[in-house]
Parts: sequence; C-alpha cells; structure tokens
Amino acid sequence: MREALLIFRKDVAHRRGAVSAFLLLVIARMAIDILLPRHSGLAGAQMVLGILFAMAAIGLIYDAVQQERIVGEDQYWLTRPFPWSSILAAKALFIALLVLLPVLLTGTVAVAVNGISPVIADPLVLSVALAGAFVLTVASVTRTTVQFVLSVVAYVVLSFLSTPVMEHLFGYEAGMWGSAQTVRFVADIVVFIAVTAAVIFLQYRRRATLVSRGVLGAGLLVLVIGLPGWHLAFSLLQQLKGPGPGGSVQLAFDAARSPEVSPGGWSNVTTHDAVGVRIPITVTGIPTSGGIVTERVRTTIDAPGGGHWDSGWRFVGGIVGRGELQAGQHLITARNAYWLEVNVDSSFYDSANLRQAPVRVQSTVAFTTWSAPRIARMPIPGTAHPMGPRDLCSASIPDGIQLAITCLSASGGDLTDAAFALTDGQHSVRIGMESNFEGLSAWTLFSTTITSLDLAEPTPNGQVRAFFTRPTTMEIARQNITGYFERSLTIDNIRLGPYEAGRSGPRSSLW
Amino acid sequence: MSSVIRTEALSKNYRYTEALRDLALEVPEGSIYALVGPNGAGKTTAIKVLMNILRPTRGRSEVLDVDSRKLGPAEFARIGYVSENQEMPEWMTVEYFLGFLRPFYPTWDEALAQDLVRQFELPRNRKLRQLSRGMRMKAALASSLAYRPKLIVLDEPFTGLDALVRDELIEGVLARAESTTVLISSHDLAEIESFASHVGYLEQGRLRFSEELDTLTGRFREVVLTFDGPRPLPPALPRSWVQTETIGPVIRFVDTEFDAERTPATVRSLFPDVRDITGNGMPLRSIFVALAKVGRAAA
Repeated sequence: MREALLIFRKDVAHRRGAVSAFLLLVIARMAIDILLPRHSGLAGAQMVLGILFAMAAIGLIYDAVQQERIVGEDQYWLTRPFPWSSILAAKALFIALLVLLPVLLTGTVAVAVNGISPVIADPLVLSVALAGAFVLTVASVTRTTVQFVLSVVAYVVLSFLSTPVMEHLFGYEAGMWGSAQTVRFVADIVVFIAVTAAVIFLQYRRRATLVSRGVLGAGLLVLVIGLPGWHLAFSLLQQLKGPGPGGSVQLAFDAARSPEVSPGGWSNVTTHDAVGVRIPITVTGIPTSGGIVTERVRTTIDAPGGGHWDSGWRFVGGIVGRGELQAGQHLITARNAYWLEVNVDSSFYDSANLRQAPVRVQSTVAFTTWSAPRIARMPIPGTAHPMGPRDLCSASIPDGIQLAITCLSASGGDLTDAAFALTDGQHSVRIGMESNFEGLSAWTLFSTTITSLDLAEPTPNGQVRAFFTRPTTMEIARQNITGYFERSLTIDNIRLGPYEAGRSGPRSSLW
Repeated sequence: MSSVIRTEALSKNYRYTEALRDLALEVPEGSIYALVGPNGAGKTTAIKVLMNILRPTRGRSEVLDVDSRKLGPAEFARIGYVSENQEMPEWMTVEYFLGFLRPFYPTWDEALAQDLVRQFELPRNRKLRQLSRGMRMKAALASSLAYRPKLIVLDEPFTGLDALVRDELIEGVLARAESTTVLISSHDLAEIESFASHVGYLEQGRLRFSEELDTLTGRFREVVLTFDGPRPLPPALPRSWVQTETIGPVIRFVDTEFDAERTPATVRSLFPDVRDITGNGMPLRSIFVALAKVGRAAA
C-alpha cells in the first residue's frame, strides 16, 4: 500500500492542474444539476458539460494509467521495484478519489437540494466507475494516444451500429427486452466486470498484451452484440418476483368471434413474407388497479399432415385490444375482449394450407403486472414536480404551438410506462409514452426525456390554427412492474381462413 | 567464481525472425562483462530477456540466482538498469525523480545519491525533458547507482555521447563497481577495452565466444610474413588464420589462436622461405572488425 500511495501521490503531482480543472468542471455540473429542474433551458448546457466531463475524465484516467504504461519495452519502471499490484492500486485510487468521489459528493448534493433521496446518486457513481474501469482497461492495452482514441471510437461506433445490424440479423426482438432489460443490464455488467478484471490482471500481472487484447475484443463484441436468452431472463424474474396481482389471469378462446387474417403481418411495417393472424380471446382475472402487459409471445401451429411452425419468443404481436394507443403499449386493462396476434410465415401458411385446414394453435404469453398509476398534477408552466423517489417532471409551452413535457430521471429502474394527461378545461388528451428500463445514465445525473404535444399548427397564411386552448394543468401518471408470469392457451381445430395475397390488410394499432 | 547471470539455450523469436539462438552466457560475479557485436546481433534482446522485459521463446536464464521470468521488485531493488532508449518520466525534475525512487529501495544511500548528482553535475531543478541526452543518461545512471546494486546492466549507454560524457559515465560506474557486477552492451569497443574484464561476442543471435579480455587480446595477432619476392598462398591454411591477403612480397593475416612458439613454427612449416615473421597486437576494435568480416563471409 505504501508503494501505491507513492505512485498515486506522484500521479496527482504530475497532473495537479488538470485535476483542479476537472474538479471545477464537476462543481459546474453540480450547479447545473441543481438548477435544471427549475430551468429546463439548461438541458443543453447540461449536455455540453456532460460531454466535457466525460472527455476530461477519460483524459485524466488515461494519462494516469499511461504514466506507468504497460505496453512497450522501454518504460523506466519495468526494471524498478514497483509491484504490479501497487501500480494497479494507485490507478484505482486515482479513479476513486479524483473522479468517483467528486461525482458522488456533487451528485448527492444536487439531488438532495432538489428534494430527492441522495441514494439515487449511487447508480451514477456505478456507471462512472464502470466507465472508469473501461478507460483503465483500454489504456492498459494500448501503447499510444492514437491507439487509445481509435479503440474507444471503434467501440462507440460498433455500439451504435450494433442495434440495426443485430435487428437485421436476428430480428426486431434482438434489442427489445422490455422489462427483462434489467436482467440483461445486470448480466452485461457482470460480463463487463469479468472481462475488464481479466484484462487488467493479465496486463498488470503478466503484461500479456496480445492475449489481453483478444480477451477485451471478444468481451466487448459479446456486449455489443448482446447476450442471448430473453426467456431465461424473464423466467428468472418470474422466480424472483412472482406474478403479483396478475396471478389470477386466465386466457380462453372466444368462439363467439372469428379469427382475422391479414396479408403482410400485424405490424407497422408490411412484410410480404408474413401473414398476420388475429385470434379472438378473452382475458379474465385482470387486476382492477393497474393492468397487465404482454411482453412477448411464442406460438406454435400444428397443421394436418405433420406441418409444424414455431414463432419463437416474439416481441411483435401479443395480446392486444382495439384503439389502445393512448393507453400505452400492449396494455390490457379490465376489459374482456382481446386478440392474440401472430405473424405466421407466409410460406408455411401456404404450404400447410392454413387457408382451409383446421389447425392446432398453442401460444404462451409472457406478461408483466403493473401497479396502479401514481398520478401527479401540476400547473403549466411550473417548476419541476417530484415523481416518486427518482424523477422530476415539468411542462412548458415555449412557442405557443407545442407543449414540451420534460422529465428528469435520476436513475434507471423498473419504471415501465408513463402516460401524460393534459387538461385545458375543454379537452383531455392522453399520450402513451414508452420509457421502460432506462439503464444507468453515464456522465449525467439526470437523463432528460422531452415529449412534445402539438397544441396548434402554423397555416400557410402565417396564422396559427389551434387544436386546443392553452392548457393550464398537466397530469402525469407513472407505473411500476409488480409481477411477472406466463400463461398458455391451446386451441384445437381452428380454421384461420384465407387471405388475399398481394394486398395489405389493416395495420395493427400496435407493434 | 559464481555467476551472476547464467543462460542456457536461451532463444527469442520475433515472428519469423530469430533474434537469439541458444545463448549460453555466464557473467562471473564481480566482472565487468562487455557484450559486443554488430547492429542487430541480438544484444538488446538478450538484455531485455534477462531483465524480464521480454519473455524468451525457449531456454532459461537466471539473474542473481532467480529465473529471469520471475524477476520482481525484490530483485529489481538489487539491479540497476540503464538503456539508451529508456523512457523516463520527462516531467520530473532530477531532484523529484531521485526523491520519488528513494522509498522504493531499502538500500538507497542518500549521501551517495547526492555525491552522484554533484559528480555528474546534474541540475537538480531541471526537468528530465530539458536535459541533453548525456545528462539524461547521467541522471538514469545516478538513479541506478544510488542504492548500490549488486548488478548493473547498461544497454548501449554510450551511443551518441561525446567523449567527455562517456568518460564521466565510465568513471561513475567504475568508481562504484568494486562489489558490483556490470553487464554492458556497446558498440564503443575502444571504451570497452579500457575497463571490461570479460567480453562476449554476439553475432546473428549467437554467442561466438565469451572469455576474459586479456585472453582474447592475447590470442589475436596480426601476423606479417615478409619474403624476398612475391609468394603465392598455399591451397590450405590453418583455420585460425583469417583475413589472409598478399601484397607483393608480403603476406598478412590475423591469427585467432596466436601462440608465441606454435605460430612461428606453423609459419615456417608452410613457408620455409619466409624471411621475417612479425606478430602485432590488435586493438579490440580490429579484432571485432576481423570477426565480423569472417562472419559475413561465412554467411
């Protein structure tokens, strides 16, 4: 420890100017975070300071690590009695004391001043700690600043490209884990910690740069691509949390209504290789407060002659009602008549003669149970209103045309849906808003969500055509997940019916 | 006499290049061992393997009775290493640098450190990046001598330095080399000759020979044979005769196994008509030039 302190002291002495500037930056961020809930116009400044903070922190950590650079053969310290553990401890101390501690202290002050529990600053510190570990790891396997910058840029670019690429390769579901995102996030963190710990050990203990780079590259690739196993994650949540009030939910085929078939599938995007099948069902036992939401559905169809089709766990489809757009995604409230939507491969549909032959349909639906909404009413415009222990929301009408609703979320969590209600004395409009699990917000204390609602529109002659009179009050409702469960439904000898090839049917109101 | 450094079949490959091949080296305790050879011979690679900076591909080496792959803080507290390419903490002043290193060495002698700073005329408050190359080498050497290491390893320490600085560095090392073993690699054969006790010649990754300097200089002689007229060379000559050339009535060669009695006898048996035999001592530089030429010719 003595050697670690000596190296740490040396690193601080080397960059005392940069450290001082960084601390001033952290204090400036704290000031913005304190003011932001009352001055939403500072969101831009917060973003700029967040970027500056990120770059400064990366630069500071990189520079400290490179003082005792691992890659190379000519560093003076390689033949000095510096224990590897002391060098590593010195760098960890540098990150903890000069980056994490200021973030923790200023974050705690900022949330406390805004009337939110200081405990929520912890996820921010965790995110900065993980980012710090990432910088330390990459810096330990790179020789030059150019190498380091290129590595980080490559990782960032890959991260951005991963979503469209993975959706293209593995379907829309690849990045949509819904409420199971929490498990995925924790798993990602565990993998990340394992990879960085392995690389740091390999580098500092053995200076095995080639192996370390391989481990880091493979690990990051896994994280960028995303871990598989949505259903495993959902099952884990079922085990941990149980069904909650949704445990009494039952599904049954509604023989009083007929199935509907639509070419092109049930989704917002027409796909010529899918046939959308809508099967009428009843849902009973829905909790009277809150509701349940379809997370994913897996459907199998067995046709005469041995034809078998398995959809796999799909995000598209599910159990839906009609005209539920305003209520939020796949929200199932206490109404009885619903549809089970499935997009069947058109090749199977045709080859197995599903247009005419009776088939056996088996579906398993994964549900989440929602709590009753927490509703807050606030004036427009007004200062930020605390929403539970984590969030602050406010609304303003900056240009007379749009209502801007700004919510600051201090951390991720199990918040799954937010609905905004607007009252102006004459009209009431509900807006569905998907927030789901937002993850940990790196570099900024408050992640900002801005939703706009058109109150009017400009006309060609320069006039403004108003949709609503100027609203004065807003209601915000937020709900939490209280349970996870699955239900299965088997329908024998059902005729799905023909569809008109080459013609798109009505689009689903939902995904 | 025990060995401070010992290697067995030590080899190091860089992808397709064989930098070291079956190196068998012994550096006796208390010696000043000069590892010499042409550029690319593998001197720096050998030293980096010995210092656990590089891992060997095959073979083994021991430094201070410890496997070089396991050299750690305890051993490095007894080893002083200075290299021409060493990256120093440029932002540090000389004084800060020495002060920073001091707590890491249990045997650090502050009085000796101050003596070295004075002897090398190092500016205490100047940053290392502001020092000339010679001054930086002196600072590195001072920081490597102040804890009275058991082994000093110097990798090409004189490259690019003027004669005065070279002398100062050599003096600095020699003055404190009484109970220390020194391993030095260098091109500067003239300087090596003035203080090395042992010498090893490395060429194309192989150690061609390793012996005491006095023995080496004793067995190499430039031999000049004078005849009454032009004399052709016989078809077969002893293998120890290299760089043989004929200039009119004179035949000149380098005998790598010179012996004051045996060599004249061999000459007379081959050249009964020789009029005069002269054996001239050779400077180390000439010895290695001759060896290098022979090596290239053989290659």
